[in-house]
Amino acid sequence: MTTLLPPTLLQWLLVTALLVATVMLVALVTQRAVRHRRERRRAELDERLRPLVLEASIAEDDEVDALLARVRALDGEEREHVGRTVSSMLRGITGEAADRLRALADASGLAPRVIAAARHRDPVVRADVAEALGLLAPEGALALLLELADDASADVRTVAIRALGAFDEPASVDRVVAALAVDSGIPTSVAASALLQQGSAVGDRVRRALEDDDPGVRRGAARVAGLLQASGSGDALARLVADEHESVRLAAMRSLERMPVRDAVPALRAAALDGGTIGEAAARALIAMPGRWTADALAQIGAEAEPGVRRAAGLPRAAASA
Amino acid sequence: MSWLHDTLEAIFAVIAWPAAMYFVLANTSMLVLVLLAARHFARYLRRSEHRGEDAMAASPLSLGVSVIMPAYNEAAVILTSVRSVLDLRYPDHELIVVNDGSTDDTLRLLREGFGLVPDERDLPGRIPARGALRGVWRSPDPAVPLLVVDKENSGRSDSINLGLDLASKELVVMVDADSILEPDALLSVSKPFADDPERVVATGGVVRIVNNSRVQAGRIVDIRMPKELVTRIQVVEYLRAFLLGRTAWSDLNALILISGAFGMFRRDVLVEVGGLDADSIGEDFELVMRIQRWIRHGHRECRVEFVAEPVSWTEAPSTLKVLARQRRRWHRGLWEVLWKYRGMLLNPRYGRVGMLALPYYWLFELFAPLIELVGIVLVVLGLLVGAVHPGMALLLLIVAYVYGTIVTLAAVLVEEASFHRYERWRDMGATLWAIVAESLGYRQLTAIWRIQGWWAGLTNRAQVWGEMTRTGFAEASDAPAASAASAAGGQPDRRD
Repeated sequence: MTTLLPPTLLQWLLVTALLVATVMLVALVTQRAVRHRRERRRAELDERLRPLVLEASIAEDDEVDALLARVRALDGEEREHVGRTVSSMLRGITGEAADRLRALADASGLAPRVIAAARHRDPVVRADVAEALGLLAPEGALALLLELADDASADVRTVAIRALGAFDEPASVDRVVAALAVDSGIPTSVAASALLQQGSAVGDRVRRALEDDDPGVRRGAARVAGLLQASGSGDALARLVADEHESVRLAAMRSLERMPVRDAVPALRAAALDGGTIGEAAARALIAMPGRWTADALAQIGAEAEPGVRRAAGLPRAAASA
Repeated sequence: MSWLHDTLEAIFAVIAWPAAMYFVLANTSMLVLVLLAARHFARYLRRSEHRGEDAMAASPLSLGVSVIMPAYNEAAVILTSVRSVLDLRYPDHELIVVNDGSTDDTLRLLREGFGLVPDERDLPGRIPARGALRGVWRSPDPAVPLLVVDKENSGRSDSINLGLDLASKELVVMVDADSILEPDALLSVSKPFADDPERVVATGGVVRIVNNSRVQAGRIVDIRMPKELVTRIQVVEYLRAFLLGRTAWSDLNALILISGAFGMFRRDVLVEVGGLDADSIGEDFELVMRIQRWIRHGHRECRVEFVAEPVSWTEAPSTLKVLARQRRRWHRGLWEVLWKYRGMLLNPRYGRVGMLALPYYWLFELFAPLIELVGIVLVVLGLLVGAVHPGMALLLLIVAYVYGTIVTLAAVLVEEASFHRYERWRDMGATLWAIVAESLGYRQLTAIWRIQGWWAGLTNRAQVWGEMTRTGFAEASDAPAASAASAAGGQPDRRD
């Protein structure tokens, strides 16, 4: 009669496995109990302190000092909670209310804590710092963010570039434009969104970026130009419709949907007749332009372009067979 | 019976150690995947403060997403589903509903509910579709980016292909009409594309089980463990194999399976590889394998990624009959796809997909039920004829059982430390009971069904989709006489 495997081995394995399973069960229950307790404590703090934060965000000028004094009088745990609440609220608030919240963050001691952690050895902490600097914008934030934008960690650099979107000073704009470059390691969407957030003040810089040697910079600038309605960038956008890089051409076409340029029509027509993704983007740009500029181009597309392009141009099925 | 006794003893002498090694290897490799996933979650959650999803949600520069929703007799839920997709937090997305020849009021409800008008624009025809097109409808309101395609019944894959043909955005996501989506689902799953648009070609999202949870207006508002034990066990299975397993494979850059209930793809790539294979039973698996092959053949530096953030909730089978059908279909699909792409197995040209993921799937997914059942049969026979020591057989069984439990417990521990979606203590109790119960009959039953599915694939038997009865969560119905979805002859009962 076989025992399949040596009995002592099986007994030893069983004891070990039971021990491990028991430890895991205890860890599971302990973990949940600790988390529930921490969440209850946070909920208590939230119930008490959130009204104070909300009150501060809509306070009149003469009420602000008293509210800040109340925050300064809180204990360490409470001030930390106020800081957390303010940070999360700042993601969705702008204008005067945001300024009030920043003052509150300052009173809670959050801003000095953030600045002090800017050179922490953990990249996750540095990335959190970059995020907070963008939201809180304390004094000296821009210099720190420019430093973090060259951090060794790509994660930190990305967050710093995104945070620089809150600053429209020339140094910030130049750094964000540089982050559009192909080999910057920063996602184009992050750098371009930061550029967009910097607003109409960056119009001149965007216009110059449209002529940059780096295709990534041209692509990002082209994408942003239409959204910013950057004056004087129409000619450059029209030229980019025939750029050697497909992604630049696509970006220029997307911008031309929002900012029609008559000189771009011949290049868009040619691109539409070439078909594919580019052709569809060109067709969409054309139908966003005044009909008197594009009538001939659309007629030719109706007669010669592939169905996908005709669809993008809004042309009916009947036109295809006509 | 001494010949049987002697034969079995001889067999055991040969296979005892290899079988033990197989068992240890199978469970240990799963444990390694769970630990890899735990490491991934720890990093992912630490970065949650600065991931930038809020910025992405507000940015007009985010990549556009076309959501494709095939619908077959979905009158009961279609309006709620459409509204919930249109309300997803994302700056630029359109919804394309493909009515797959429904025999109920699905199309009428959509037309009347959204005041749809005919869309006479040309059709691209980039992806060949089988079901004849009956009409295209669109919302007249530019603020409601909804397109409805009406076609003859030809199945889910063909419907998605038609939707893909009409999609206009850079990214495409496929969802089922009866899936419940998280409000940030598109943001979460498109984030890898935004971070690395040149290299990421597909992402998969986590699909969880909705049974017994409370749903309002297409949104999940109270997450609970299912009532039935069979569904509770599936929650644990999903957690271990789908959430943690796929996270780990993604980390290893060897992800070969994305759930059809929520997968996002770059549209140009999907068009280039030809869309879904309408003849495949495991069409989601087949598509990802085709994309992986496309990546390797073209020497492209592309990735398929898995996003661990919960994005979609779906109803799991709550009866053994429906579960059996699902598992037969899954295993048949697994076999057919693995066989179709057998040339990639252990082929260094396909990198970790060929050298790591595929051997794992062959060895520990495809063959697992066969080895398990053969082992059970041999041990039972051995006990009957006295070839095996009963006490030691029991001890071996308990050791195996406890080790399997440890692996699942590790998965639950990781979930508790990361997303912890089941918050009630009684849900934890239900989870622990499900872990215990999984090996007491459930695993053996699923092994039988899986072998049946494999056999059906080997003998090329016609696939019957059957019917999925909805019982899992309460939700106001869109149709006056709402009926449970019937997919007989139409679409598969479930994408999982």
